Amino acid sequence: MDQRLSDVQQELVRSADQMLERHAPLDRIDAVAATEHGYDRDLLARTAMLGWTGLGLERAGEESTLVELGLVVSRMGYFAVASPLRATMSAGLLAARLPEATQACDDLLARIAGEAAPVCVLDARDLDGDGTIGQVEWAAAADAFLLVTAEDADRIAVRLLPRHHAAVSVTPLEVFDNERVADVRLTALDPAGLPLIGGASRAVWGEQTQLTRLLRAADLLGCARRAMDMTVDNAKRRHQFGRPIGMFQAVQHHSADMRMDVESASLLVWSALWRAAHAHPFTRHALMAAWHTGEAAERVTKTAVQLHGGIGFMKEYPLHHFYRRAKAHKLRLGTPRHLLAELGDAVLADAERDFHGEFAAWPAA
Amino acid sequence: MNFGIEEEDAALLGEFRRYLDGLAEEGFIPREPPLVRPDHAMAPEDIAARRAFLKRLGGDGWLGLAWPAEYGGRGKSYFAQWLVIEELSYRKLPEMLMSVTMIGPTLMRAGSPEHRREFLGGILAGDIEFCLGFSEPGAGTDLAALQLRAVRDGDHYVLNGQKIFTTGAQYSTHIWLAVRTGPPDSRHRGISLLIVPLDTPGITVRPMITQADYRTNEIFFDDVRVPVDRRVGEENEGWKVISLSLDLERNLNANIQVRELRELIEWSLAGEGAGPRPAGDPAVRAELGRLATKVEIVRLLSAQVAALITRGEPLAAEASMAKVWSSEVFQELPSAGLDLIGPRGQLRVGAPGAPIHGLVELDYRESPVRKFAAGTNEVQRDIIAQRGLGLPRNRK
Repeated sequence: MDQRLSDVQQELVRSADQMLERHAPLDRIDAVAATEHGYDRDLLARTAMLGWTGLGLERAGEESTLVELGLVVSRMGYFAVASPLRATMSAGLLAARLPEATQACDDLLARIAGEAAPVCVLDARDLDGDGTIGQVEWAAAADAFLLVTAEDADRIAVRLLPRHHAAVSVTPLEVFDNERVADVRLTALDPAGLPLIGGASRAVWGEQTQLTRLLRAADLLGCARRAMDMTVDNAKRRHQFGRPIGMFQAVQHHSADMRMDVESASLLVWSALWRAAHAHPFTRHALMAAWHTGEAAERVTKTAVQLHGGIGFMKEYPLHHFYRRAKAHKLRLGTPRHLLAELGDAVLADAERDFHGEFAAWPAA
Repeated sequence: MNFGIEEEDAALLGEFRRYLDGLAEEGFIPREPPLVRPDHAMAPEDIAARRAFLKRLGGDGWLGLAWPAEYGGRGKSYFAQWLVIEELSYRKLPEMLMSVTMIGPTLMRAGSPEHRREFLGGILAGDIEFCLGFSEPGAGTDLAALQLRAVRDGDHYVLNGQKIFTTGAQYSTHIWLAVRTGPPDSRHRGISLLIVPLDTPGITVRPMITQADYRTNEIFFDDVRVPVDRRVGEENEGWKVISLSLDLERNLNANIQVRELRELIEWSLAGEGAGPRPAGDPAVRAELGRLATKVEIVRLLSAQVAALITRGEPLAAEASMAKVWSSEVFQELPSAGLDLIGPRGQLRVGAPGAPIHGLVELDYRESPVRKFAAGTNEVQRDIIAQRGLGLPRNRK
């Protein structure tokens, strides 16, 4: 048991911070958000050069770098970077984990890893009566979609749908943070005519859902940590009544609560990703991490604005980006009451199977 | 990064579980956990059973697993010892946490060779158990205000004064006692630490019954004579020994909360009588999911502290975070649990027909204690802010 980052992981985080400090400073967020596609293409290309877009894409049996992927995603959250990177890596994880993969799958993974080609997942089972899949992140920026369809009761198929296919129309939505989200409408599309990426059981899809959530939770964790760090820095510098406000016990106790929210979310996120990376069951743990981190990040960013006072409420100060991001990402994890219901089901199912032997056991190192 | 346990530690835990199962099979311990936690034993027969179990555990080499061989331990990892104590806690069996993880290691560092010879073996045999003599009516969170007077008389100290909230004194053999040897206003510069057998003449132990029906104590000292060589550390330098021992008092049981969660989950799955299973209600499942998450955080924070101690690293805010979080969940579990159970939750512990034997209401009554005991959560939050986040000190 060792919760610390390894030397290699620390180096990864250090180099991520250096790169983001230089190429994605907080004072550029507004300028990037004002561009047509809402993200910095050069920055995305850099992530590929640094090898980030290959993280976590190992095939079964190879040593996993899923935790490392989580680490860089978390640093993106720490800088509130708007980028298709996380959505792309979620799609990449799906492709990499398909047991029956095609050459098209290998080609796609090579494009993600090598060029950071933006890709996102479309779940055809989410189609509404109008043929629309709602609120797809970074759909407008994507080169291609991974279209997931139900083959039968137990199996899914994943196909490659080019962004500019005639059947696809993308309608950008206006959201309250700096992410880009769109509705995707599919008209008269015959999935059977699309290149097959691979097939899998529904269990694989279930794990995919949790991995997508875990990456978002890692992002939220970075977001919460930044809000806390900004608040503590401010509390040390800002003087009232002739002393730093961070000397007041009320401020200290709020800060301690932020610290505990960050620590608890951090342990849940990394332990769940570690489990996933080491082939331990992780569904319940991912749901716990997702639910708690959403709640924690919302609490931390609210407290951050409160402890900053007026300046934290101003658009010229960057805290509002984290306040927005925390809530918007929390919503993207799923309606909180539905997420909690899913979590409750997972807890009961695991506990009913074997409480002492499995539910409460520590995994093998 | 590694969230798993080492093979050797897991093997030891497996061996210990089989050992305990064996004790249950031979009828030495009950198969099902008792209603009363073993650290709350009051009745003479419960105290006798507690001592007998600890002596058996000690005799079979399961106390002080991580102690070095030179002090009679087995030299296993601290983490393995933590896992074994967790297992005892899960089964609601006595574990002598304080003597094994706090007093013993403090004596190894700060005690004289005579102290080590006299007490360490006794702790490992389950013969000697300590309670903590820190709090006084006028010295709680402000421990440096303590006034129990110790005056030198030849090669003895003569003690007069009072301690309060001395939990476990009714079954402990010795008290780890902080006394005033300097002037009354000398605060932390005038405190010494003494080891005093509780059967020393002049000591009166008076029970104080808590709202959870278990016993803590008030202890009065009237001309109690204690040999000077029972002092740990130098005279008036007891604060160092206290700080050292409190730094070691950072080992937390997560499994008390895990056990409570299990009881609630089993209740929800089994239901009561012919009625529908509570677990069939989505709102109940969601609430159990929320509580299970809180408990998982208790486990992860506690394991993090155990891992830090295992590696010999200093604890900064981690121990305080674990303490605050776990004590708050200790209160939240029975609070939310009774709300899940509803009106039948009002049936008191042991009452016929009480859901989960009424354990949840008993836990509810006990649940405030951990938030103010062993360093109030307010002080812990100060520590988290100051040591963990570098905010400026606000107290002298």
